[in-house]
Amino acid sequence: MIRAFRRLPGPVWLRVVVAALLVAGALALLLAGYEWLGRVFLDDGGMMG
Amino acid sequence: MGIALLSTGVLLGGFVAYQLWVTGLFAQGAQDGLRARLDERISTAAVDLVPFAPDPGLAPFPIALPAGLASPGGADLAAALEAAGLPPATPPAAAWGAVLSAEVPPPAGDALGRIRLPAAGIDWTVVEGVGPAELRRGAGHMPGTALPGQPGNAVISGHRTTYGAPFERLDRATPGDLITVTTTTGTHAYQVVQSLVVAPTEIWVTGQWEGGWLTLTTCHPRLSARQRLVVVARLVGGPNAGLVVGEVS
Repeated sequence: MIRAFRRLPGPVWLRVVVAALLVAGALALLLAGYEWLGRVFLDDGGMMG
Repeated sequence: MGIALLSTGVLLGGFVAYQLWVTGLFAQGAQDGLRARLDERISTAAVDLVPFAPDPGLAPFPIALPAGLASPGGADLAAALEAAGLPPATPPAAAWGAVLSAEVPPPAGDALGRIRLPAAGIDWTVVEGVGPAELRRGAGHMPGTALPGQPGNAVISGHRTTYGAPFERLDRATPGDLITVTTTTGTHAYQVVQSLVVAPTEIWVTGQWEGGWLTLTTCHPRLSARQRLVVVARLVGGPNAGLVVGEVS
């Protein structure tokens, strides 16, 4: 993780911003995946049709 | 190899924690706001008293029901509701004549009513709509079906595992159990008459029938969206019960 952070371009403040954006994006993707998996396989709300 | 296994474990653990715990927090937060919103709607919404005429286009209830259920609207209803820890059904707004207490459904996602079924541990605020966004907030009323307490069949769906699992223990409902649904038109009492398991595509259970009915649907079995557990109840008390009692065939 630290190595990946150091590979980011630009000054430290820019790397922090980019890293934060990447983490937020990955988290959003992960939660969207969890949502989809849960809805398809676990519990879609029980509505008919 | 070790890192791959560890990552998989963390992802799976995260999935379980998110589905069973985090989504419940989302639903609980939404319910806190919805309960206040429902109280506000009940205190301000106008109830329409409209002439009642049975709809000749409605079909009779299609399932043969078990015998031995108490008579709808019987004198023992108040005692039965009290014994079940439920609020009393709202008395008829007018003489038990041809006047119906009606309401306009709220917009999607807004609080419609409060459903209580102590036998299954259910006490949730119901929102209008059954889309994913609505069902994340609580149980949802299916648009196009009757509103609770109105003639026809009011269909309410809810999660069984995630988002607070409002209908987690719906399988514990048995014929004779009492349900109340409180809306802006009052408190309507229903009596469970049947439970069944169907495929999600069997939309006949949402059909509109003669009388007043309530159909609750959720996923079945638990932890699977493969089938639906359906509980059907008939209207036995409330402002409209004298007019639109669900007839048992």
